[in-house]
Amino acid sequence: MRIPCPVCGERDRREFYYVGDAKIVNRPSPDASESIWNDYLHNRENPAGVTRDLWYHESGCNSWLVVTRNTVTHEVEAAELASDLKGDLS
Amino acid sequence: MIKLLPKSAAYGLTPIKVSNTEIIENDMLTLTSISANIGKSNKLSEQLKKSHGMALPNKGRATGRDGARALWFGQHALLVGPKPDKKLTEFGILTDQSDAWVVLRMSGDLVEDTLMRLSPVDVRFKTFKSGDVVRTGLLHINVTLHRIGPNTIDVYGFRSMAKTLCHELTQAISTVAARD
Repeated sequence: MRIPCPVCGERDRREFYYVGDAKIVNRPSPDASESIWNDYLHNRENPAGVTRDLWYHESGCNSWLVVTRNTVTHEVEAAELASDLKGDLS
Repeated sequence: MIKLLPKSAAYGLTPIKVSNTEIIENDMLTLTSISANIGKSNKLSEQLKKSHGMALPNKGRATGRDGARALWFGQHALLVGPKPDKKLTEFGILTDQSDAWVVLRMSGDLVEDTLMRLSPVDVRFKTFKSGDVVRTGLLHINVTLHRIGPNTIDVYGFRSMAKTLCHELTQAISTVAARD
């Protein structure tokens, strides 16, 4: 598996650290309701198909990336800098 | 207080010589990371040229020469050698990294085959040219590789990993040498 890092180019999976669902990039506001915070902290989708995850380019440029990939075909569709998407993740 | 002596990161670990391939430490360098302020990378590059004689490097490249270089370092650049001119702070953020890294210079016929064993990127010399820089892994160690000549590579690793880095490189060179 290779991830197309927007800073470094296409790199082997071994250079990256898997963090989890990319929804953690969209942090709710501090005064959001308990159910929103509960959902943000604990609830995750487990899709068969397209998913967006947060990865860290540990052995590279040290960027946080949002990677779009397909859990069925293992296809990696895109990788974007998390800093560019902050608060704007659909 | 007793007199303390400065020790380089690979003190007592280098030189290492296997066959005709040698590792020496490029020590006591001043290393400074440089990040341009938003929208100021052109100005920063111009100032870098005025102050130290080299522009900011493009992706995967280095500029300057031995003693005063700038390396592409992912989302920022690394100034290697000179003490940074204060004027650079007008257009970017400077952070002293001098004691954080170990810099090893590998040269000899076995360098290419050795690195190909250890890194997941293509560092064959037909694709990894002189002046190219890549940040990658060397086994489990995070490193930056910079090709500076036909058979010479600078390896930048974390200071805390200096001993392991020297060990892994020695093992790999010896294994490659044994196959010849």
